[in-house]
Amino acid sequence: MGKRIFSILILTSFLLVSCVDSHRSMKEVVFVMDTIVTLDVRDHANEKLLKKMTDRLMEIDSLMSFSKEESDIYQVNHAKGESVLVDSSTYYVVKKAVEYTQMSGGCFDPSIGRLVALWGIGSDDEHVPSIKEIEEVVETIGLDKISLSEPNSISLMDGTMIDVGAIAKGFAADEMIRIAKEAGVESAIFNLGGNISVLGSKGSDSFRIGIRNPFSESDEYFGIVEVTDTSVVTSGNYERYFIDESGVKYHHILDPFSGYPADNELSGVTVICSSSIKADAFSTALYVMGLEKGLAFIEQMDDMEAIFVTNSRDVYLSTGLHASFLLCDDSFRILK
Amino acid sequence: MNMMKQGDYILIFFLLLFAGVLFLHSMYNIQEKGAMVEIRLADEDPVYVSIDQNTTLDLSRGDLVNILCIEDEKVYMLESNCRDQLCVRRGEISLEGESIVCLPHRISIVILGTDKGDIDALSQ
Amino acid sequence: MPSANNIQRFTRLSLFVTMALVLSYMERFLPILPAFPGIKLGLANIITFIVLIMYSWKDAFFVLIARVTLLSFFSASGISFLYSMSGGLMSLMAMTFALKYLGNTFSLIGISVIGAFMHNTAQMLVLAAVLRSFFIPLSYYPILVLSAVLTGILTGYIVANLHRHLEKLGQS
Repeated sequence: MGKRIFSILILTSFLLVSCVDSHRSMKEVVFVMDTIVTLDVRDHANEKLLKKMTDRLMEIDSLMSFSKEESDIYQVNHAKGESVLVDSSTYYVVKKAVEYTQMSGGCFDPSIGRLVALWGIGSDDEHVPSIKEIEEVVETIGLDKISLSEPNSISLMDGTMIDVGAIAKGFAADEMIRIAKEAGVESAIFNLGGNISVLGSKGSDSFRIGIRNPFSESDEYFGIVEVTDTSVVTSGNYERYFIDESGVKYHHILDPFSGYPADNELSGVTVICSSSIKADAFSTALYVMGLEKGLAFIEQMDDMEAIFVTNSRDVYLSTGLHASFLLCDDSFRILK
Repeated sequence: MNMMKQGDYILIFFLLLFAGVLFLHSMYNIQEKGAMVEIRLADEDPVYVSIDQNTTLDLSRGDLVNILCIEDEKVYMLESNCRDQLCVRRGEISLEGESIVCLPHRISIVILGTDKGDIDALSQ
Repeated sequence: MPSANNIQRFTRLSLFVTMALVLSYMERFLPILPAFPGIKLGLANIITFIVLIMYSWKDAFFVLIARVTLLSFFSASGISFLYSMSGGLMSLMAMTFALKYLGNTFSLIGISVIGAFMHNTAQMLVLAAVLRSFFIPLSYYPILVLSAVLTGILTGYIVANLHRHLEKLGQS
């Protein structure tokens, strides 16, 4: 009799705990991958889950960092043409990068590692390289310089370097969603340095994601998208750049063909796609493509939508987006 | 005090008045408990963190160590390896408009007000 | 050919620079209000001011620039050099002007307060330039002004008395 009561009590308390747990929300903020990441798990949250997520973030950073010597990417870049066995996550990311390069006709290309290092934007060494230097490095760019062999080996042509920084955050965001889903979380929002992924919805409403105004110094937004279960990633010429002595601005989105920052009428591109790694890659690719090509491209893609903002504050939306985008700054206008 | 002239007293009076007016002016911009913490590292875009999360942020880059704590809606620099330690000695801030600056490491932390209610996150 | 006068002058100035350096350096060990960055007693200004009164503005500028430059070798902090130099120069220029033209309106104490005020104002402006915004610097400014008034009075008082004593010594 006593035992029965005891086991009923234990059972009840477990049920109570999981009941409480299912409503529990937690937020965690960490500094990783050179940026601030906010993890907002709105139900079924507990310390163990958050720890698993932050550990995974650290792991991704140490595997895919361009500069950290222990990273897989560093090893591959310094292997002088030798094949390197990497972590399955790294292999997945590079494989996806290659896929996106093909899809985007080379506008997104991970083999720009040496070009990024040459320009040094964001470091103390940022400068305008000479034409010769750029030409030399552009020679090392291209899909033909990357070799992937299953299960997990990567080799590069000697002299080529890959940099997956442009999609690492996207991958990390997808991983956060995966881990949360596996733990039974129904609603969450993750912000990885401006790269947003949402799981589920916010109660009965969608999540409202602001799109940063490229022309404002602070956190102002010109429009809002209402989304559920998807990722919103923006690339813009206002994020990282330097200005040289003659007042010319050089931003961080490099054109893999010319070797120079992509120079077109765009100030920013936002891609909305349920796969964050894809959104991350294509926000860069579409920016490089420019407005016309970019719009044409996005119309072909069923699983992605995009917002283009030009230097003259004109906003272009892909067809699927007209319903869920709200303009809130009338110094911008939406054009078809 | 010996040999002070009339001009001195007038000068001091006006300077104190000046300081007083400036001070009242900054107080007048209602000292609300802040809601967002703006973190700026060097020239990068600022990042915003809600003040109601208890967290320890390691903002260290390379050799520059800075550890920021947000605890019980108060913000303070826990640790830094800068020479002057002014950021650490600043203590806790919690009101809108208050700030912690680590000049040698080019970090600025400012507490902002609550008007971010319209969106859940900013894509940038 | 360096005249005896020049050598004497140089030696004298070097002595002053040394004294200013010592005062500047020792100031660090005085625990004054850690909550407010930039609040110092400014004891080295006593030397600069005395030189200004008893010798010439050129000598005073020499002492100031030498002191700030040498100090920056010891502390190796680029930003504090900028602060000290800009604050020191602004303050000395203002004091030189006030001493020459406003000597009837203000006593030495008043001139010292003017100097301290200019020094702290220059610092506030430098901070605004570095941060590229006036928001934070202006929030500190009232305290800086108050501190300038108080330290100005203090150093002014010390200089006034020092001056009196030195004059007496000079006459004997």
